[in-house]
Amino acid sequence: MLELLNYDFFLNAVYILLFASIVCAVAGALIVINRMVFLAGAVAHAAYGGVGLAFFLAQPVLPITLAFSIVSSSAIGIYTAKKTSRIDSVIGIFWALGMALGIILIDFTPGYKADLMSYLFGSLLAVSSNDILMVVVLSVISILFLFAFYRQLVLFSYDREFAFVKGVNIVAIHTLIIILSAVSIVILIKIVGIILVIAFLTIPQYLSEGKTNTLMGMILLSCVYTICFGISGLIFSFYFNTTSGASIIIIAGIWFVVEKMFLGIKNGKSEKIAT
Amino acid sequence: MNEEIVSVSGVYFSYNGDFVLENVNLKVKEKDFLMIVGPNGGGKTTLVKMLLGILKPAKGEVKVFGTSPENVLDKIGYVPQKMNNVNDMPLTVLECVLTGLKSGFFKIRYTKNEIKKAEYVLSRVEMDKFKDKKMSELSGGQVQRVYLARALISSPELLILDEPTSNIDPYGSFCFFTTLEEINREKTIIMVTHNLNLLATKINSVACVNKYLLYNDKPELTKEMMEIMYGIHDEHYCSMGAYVAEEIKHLTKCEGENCCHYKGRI
Repeated sequence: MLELLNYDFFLNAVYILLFASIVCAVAGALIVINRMVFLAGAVAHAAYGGVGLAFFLAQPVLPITLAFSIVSSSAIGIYTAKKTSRIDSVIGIFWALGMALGIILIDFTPGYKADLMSYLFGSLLAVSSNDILMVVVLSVISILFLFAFYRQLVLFSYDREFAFVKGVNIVAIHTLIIILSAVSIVILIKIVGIILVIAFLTIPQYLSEGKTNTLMGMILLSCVYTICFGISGLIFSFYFNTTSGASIIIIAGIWFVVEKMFLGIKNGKSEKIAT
Repeated sequence: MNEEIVSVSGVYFSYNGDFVLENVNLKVKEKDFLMIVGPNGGGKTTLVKMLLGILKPAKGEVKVFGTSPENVLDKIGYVPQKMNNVNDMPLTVLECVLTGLKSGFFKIRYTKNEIKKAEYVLSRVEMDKFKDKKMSELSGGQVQRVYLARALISSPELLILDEPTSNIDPYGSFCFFTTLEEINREKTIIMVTHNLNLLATKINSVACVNKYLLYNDKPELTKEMMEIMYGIHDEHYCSMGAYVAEEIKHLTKCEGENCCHYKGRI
């Protein structure tokens, strides 16, 4: 297995996974505890509009998609921050609209779109050093965001009304969380693709939530889970010649089921003993 | 003479054009313990949200400590009504209380002084032994006590509670009110509640809100208030609260200083 370390593409994939795990752990934990999974799904699919725009303009996909996602997620964030009724319908509209825009823009783009599938399903083994640099910068930004607003994030996530009374700008925090989600989603497009992105932002975080007592603990544990799932999936895809993104998600999914079943059996046993 | 803490003058408020509050006037003085009652949809929570600066009146003026509420939020402690914000988020009782302090930037760890303060307010509401428990593991009454500690940690001068005992059984409510009575020696309290049990024993004034506001500077519901709330005129019901409170004391066989003073009851 060590021979894998001789391959540059494998090492690049590991490097990007290590840094992406930081961004995803921070964004994913905030998405899960704030019950924004559907919202993150909308941001992910709206990001396809950015992919389409990049193809249409014949520009690099990652920066264009990043800029597009930041703008669209800000709009979603500001619009949904104070709304309470029918918010899911509005999110659904953003979800479909971004995806449709991407498809139409790609339709208008002349020529053969060979690597389009890689944005839908990821291409972890084809990351460049520029991609890695971008993820490093974004992971530093995520850490700074977390450190700067940690107390506000805890308060906002637990009780928004009380956060408002304590002077926290809830619209700004809500929007910043969604922008951070958009940023991590754009990174994940390279790793697992638009279609599978939600699993990467929810499975490690969901597994971590019950095992820790603080948001910081949840983020750190999510980071460990993400790295483990990422590297295991990568090795699996190398040996079984499967798509890397889907392999990572399958490994995460299987672990999720195993862990939940194991916990289920434990609970069952303790219930029996109690009776 | 006690200082005026809250002044609501000629306030109107509407949701989508339908007025839920009309010409509301209210004055609350220092160390008052005001109970706000009224039917569902009568505008109680709307009034509380205006006192907190969350909502702005369509017409009229709301002043707290002589200025707009948002300028003095650090002087106000707030205990919210809803229980649905108790989620599975990893948060200990101690950290929940600490969130009541000013947030600040680039602050993750809490100082020893902050932790000491949190432990002190938790002991005041008799929840100190639960400080390392997760919020999601607490009962409804325990959560309300933690919220009270969270409101107290910033040493507010005014405490606003929105239906704090809506999820607690009658005896638990009685204990909660006993704690509030102690706190009222130092702080002004405004509390929205449906719980009339302790009407005659703990509070010193009542406001009944149902679009309009009726105020009584005594701890009694007037005939007009009863009519607004229940459509009845019988004066007997006005003293019902005091009767129920006595019944609870009798049934639980605990009276005086020791009453409610064992930890983790609610």
